[in-house]
Amino acid sequence: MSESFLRESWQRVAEQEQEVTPEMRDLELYFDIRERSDGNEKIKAIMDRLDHDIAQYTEALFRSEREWVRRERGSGDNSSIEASDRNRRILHDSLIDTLNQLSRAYRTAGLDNKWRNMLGLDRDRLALWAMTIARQVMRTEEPLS
Amino acid sequence: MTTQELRDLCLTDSRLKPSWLNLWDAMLAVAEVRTRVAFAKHAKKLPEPIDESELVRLMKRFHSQRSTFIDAARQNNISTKPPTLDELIEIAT
Repeated sequence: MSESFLRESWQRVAEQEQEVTPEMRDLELYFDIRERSDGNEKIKAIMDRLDHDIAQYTEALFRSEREWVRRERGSGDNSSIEASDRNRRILHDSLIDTLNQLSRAYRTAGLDNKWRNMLGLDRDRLALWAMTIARQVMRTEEPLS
Repeated sequence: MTTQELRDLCLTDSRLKPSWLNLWDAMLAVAEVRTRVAFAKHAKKLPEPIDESELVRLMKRFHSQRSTFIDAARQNNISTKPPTLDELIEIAT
């Protein structure tokens, strides 16, 4: 599915909404970064890695939650949950590292990287941003329900 | 009742909790594989054919668990529409 289709499908939803929501702003920021990375091979490679990191982090989040379900059913244990959470934190760190590399690559290429300040440093905020992107990619690329 | 409110209710009601956990786990299993498939398509990097049969199998399990959950809710006089996969993913993330 083309990048423009992904953006267009989101814009159709956005146009139907009365107000600009935080989720819309997050997606706009993502699409802006992604579009502007297209003309530079080095930046594009980092952008692709960011997408990969978002996917990995999202999968880890779902796996952690499944560990919690196992414990609630009485079949899991705390060490499995801790291991799962540790893995998720490592992937979260990796995602943030990639974002910072992307920001530096933008600056080196003379491109506006104010988006990095807009995203901020708060880990929870960055995780929510990543989840918003993941949900949009799922809805668009693999619309199951 | 919102999906979030439904979740909160089910986690505190021992009659609904088992079927809710089964539904929740089925959703998470779908979501994990769906993330992998969706991002592979998004990246247009398909080094090997994506095996979507696993996703189809997990979706069948999700729908089955959702039916079981809705039956349990009705038996306990809880009136709710069946939560969709995307609604559940929304509150999980």
